[in-house]
Amino acid sequence: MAILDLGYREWRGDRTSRATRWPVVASSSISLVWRAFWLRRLMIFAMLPTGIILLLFFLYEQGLEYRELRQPVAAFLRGTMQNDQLSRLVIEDPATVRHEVWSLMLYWFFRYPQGVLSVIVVGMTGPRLVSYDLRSRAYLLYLSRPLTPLEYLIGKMAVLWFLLALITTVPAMLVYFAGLLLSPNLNAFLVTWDLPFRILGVTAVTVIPLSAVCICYSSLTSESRFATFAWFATWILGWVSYAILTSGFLMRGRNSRFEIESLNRWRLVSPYHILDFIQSWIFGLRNFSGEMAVALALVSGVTILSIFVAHRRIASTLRK
Amino acid sequence: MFDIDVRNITKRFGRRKVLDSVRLRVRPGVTGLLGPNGSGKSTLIKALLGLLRADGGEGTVLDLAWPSQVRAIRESVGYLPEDDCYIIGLQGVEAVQMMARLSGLPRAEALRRAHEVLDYCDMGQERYRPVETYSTGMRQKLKFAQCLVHDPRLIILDEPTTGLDPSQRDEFLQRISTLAKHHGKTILLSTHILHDVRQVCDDVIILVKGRIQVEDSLENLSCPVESGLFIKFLNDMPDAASRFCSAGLQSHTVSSNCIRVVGASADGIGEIWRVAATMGAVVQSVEPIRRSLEDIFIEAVGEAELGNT
Repeated sequence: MAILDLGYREWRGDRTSRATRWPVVASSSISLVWRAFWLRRLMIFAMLPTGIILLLFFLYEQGLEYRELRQPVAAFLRGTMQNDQLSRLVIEDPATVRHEVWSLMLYWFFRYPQGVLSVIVVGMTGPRLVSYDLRSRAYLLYLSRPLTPLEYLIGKMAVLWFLLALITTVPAMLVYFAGLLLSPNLNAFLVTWDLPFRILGVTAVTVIPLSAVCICYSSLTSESRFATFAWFATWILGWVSYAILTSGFLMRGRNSRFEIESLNRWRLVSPYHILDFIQSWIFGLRNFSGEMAVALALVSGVTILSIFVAHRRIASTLRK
Repeated sequence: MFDIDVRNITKRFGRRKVLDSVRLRVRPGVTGLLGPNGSGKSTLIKALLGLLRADGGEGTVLDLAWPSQVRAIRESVGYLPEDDCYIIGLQGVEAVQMMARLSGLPRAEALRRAHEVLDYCDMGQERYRPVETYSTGMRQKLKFAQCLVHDPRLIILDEPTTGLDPSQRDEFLQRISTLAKHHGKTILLSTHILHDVRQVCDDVIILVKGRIQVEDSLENLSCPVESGLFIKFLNDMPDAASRFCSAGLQSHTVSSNCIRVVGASADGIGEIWRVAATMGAVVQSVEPIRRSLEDIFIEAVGEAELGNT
């Protein structure tokens, strides 16, 4: 028998706004996935390419003062990015091409190291977000609160937004501001002020479709391994299909401009290449075209369809 | 007057009508929602919470329009689902805190309140264990704590005592009773266990095949249906019924130490004492004949079956 037992006590206090409920789902899920030791390791590993891009920014900006430092940047642009013209300009007059060089380096950062790492991070964490709730019927606990199925899904997707922002947006922004600090003159900001907005734009077109498709897969099964398999299969099969469809043209050796351009239509089969195509447009490396409109429509359509399917799936589970 | 007052709730799953123009009225106190398996109890509860979209119906829940304001309704309702549901990976206290935050409590306040409610639900240090390691009884306690953490006006409990041992069940029912009597909560208790209903409920609703068959207070339902008394003796008295009959009191044997005296009432108790004294029997109790909840339940189900045929 207790000496003092307060028993049940009533609670009176101000409640938070209803608009703040989905961030609760997000923050709880983030704290949950963050407990995984391997994820913390993976996130640290995913930060490593930031060092490479930071070094390139440093070399480029210092190259304005010290001519011998221009060579590695020019080699990067010529070798990795296959842009001979820009490479030559970096050697001759680097100050005139600052915006193009910064854009190209940030594009490379998003496309290659962080693009691949994003797919891996989402594939390792996303599939369990909803499927675990389906397995343990936790969605009943969430949805019996003032929370709609759509808010629940947004909360779950926000977990992936957070992780992806940590490995793409945050390092890209840091690199950009580090570039401004490394620059010998203040003119750099006036020339490149639009890049933070472009980084946010690229983040949006990458993160939203990725999270929507992954959450959709996750909502379709209570076995997260099936969703993981489907996720990686989508990327790998897309990539392989694109490679097979374009290899015939490329193996003929020197192709005409028309033939090279005609390859572009095959990128629609590969999620990786279609996102790369849109990212390059947002960074100003490609002009808007009819194909770009098709790519944007396709990505938007897949995103909306994924959210619709996931929503239907969550709503239907309540009937059981 | 009624915290839940909804009418014409209809729900179909395909061609099957699960709820058929249900009129549900629940007043403050504890109301037992009874019904056989598949009678539509859980569907009715989910429809009330807006987890399922009802095909028809209107009314008010906690003075809020139903179904148009289900989100606001959920803010003031605590729901303990029948299903074994939990969030994998969270500790007990985190799970309760999270539910509090989803109901609008600020983060720090949610944690303080989570501990307070877990104390009330008699959860000790096990609150720091991952919920997937909990036993069934502990999960029921956890769900109850999650249901209470935001101090709801209306509490809906779907099979809350499932998986609890007898002492835990008694404690649980005691808490339900305390919440209704001392804290003014309206509680809708959906259960199969008639003993639980007898112990804590003020009103009873029996739902059979998607229709309400019985809706009344437990007191009214337990009124004597015929004049007569149950006489229980301290010792076995196998010939008691015949001795009472020979004394002019029509009686039937119920058990070796209990008889039913038909037509007797409290006014004629003197005659009963006299016959018992001549038999040398010690009377342990005299009670008016009442219908048991089991009888009422079986009757309601039987009537529904009959109505269908």
